[in-house]
Amino acid sequence: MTDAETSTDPLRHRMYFWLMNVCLFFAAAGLVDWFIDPYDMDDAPAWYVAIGAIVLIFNGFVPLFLMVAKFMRDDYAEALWRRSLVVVAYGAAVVPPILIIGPWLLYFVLGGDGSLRPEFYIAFEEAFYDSDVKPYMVVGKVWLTFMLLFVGVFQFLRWRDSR
Amino acid sequence: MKNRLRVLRAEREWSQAELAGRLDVSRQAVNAIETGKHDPSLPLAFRIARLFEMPIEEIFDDTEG
Repeated sequence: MTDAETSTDPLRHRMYFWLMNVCLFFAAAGLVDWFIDPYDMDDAPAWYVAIGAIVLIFNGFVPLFLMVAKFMRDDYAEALWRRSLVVVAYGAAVVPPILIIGPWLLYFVLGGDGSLRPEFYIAFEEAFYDSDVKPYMVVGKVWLTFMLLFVGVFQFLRWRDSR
Repeated sequence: MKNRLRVLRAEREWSQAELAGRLDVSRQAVNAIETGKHDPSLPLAFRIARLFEMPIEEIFDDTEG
């Protein structure tokens, strides 16, 4: 290997971190869009749909690629990947039962007759128990959640290591 | 785990990116090892030892304190 070839770190390793940065940017963009929710998809303008497609690619498919692209990870990225997946695995085990059992406990704490239930709880109850959500939508949202969680945890651990 | 990577790199006047290129890792990996945030895997530790032509235990110190 010549000095010129060894003058910098390999491109594929740099690309891995760079793609992670881009994914984090689009994760933030997706979250902002989710909070603002400017358009219904039925009557959204074409530019909004096009941007939505790009956001979806970087929220779901690129993180999926980064999750399986072992050839792009160096020693440190591999360690970060492993630490991230441990957190995601704990999340997959712990969060669903909390989401199921938590509202029951809150229901009894807030009074079974409903007199003490605040607006946010009623809105949550309606969305969580009463909405007609199709199974493919649930699968899609769970998948996106895990992809975004992977990116978020990876970047958080990387940021914490850099301090 | 403490290590002498930063000192050894400075002795050879290599940048982090240059050392990363020689070890086939990212510059961030070199930085994480130098600052003690990341303990390298055994294969990478051997690569580092071979590059500096030193035994692993002269580069890495696993004793406490």
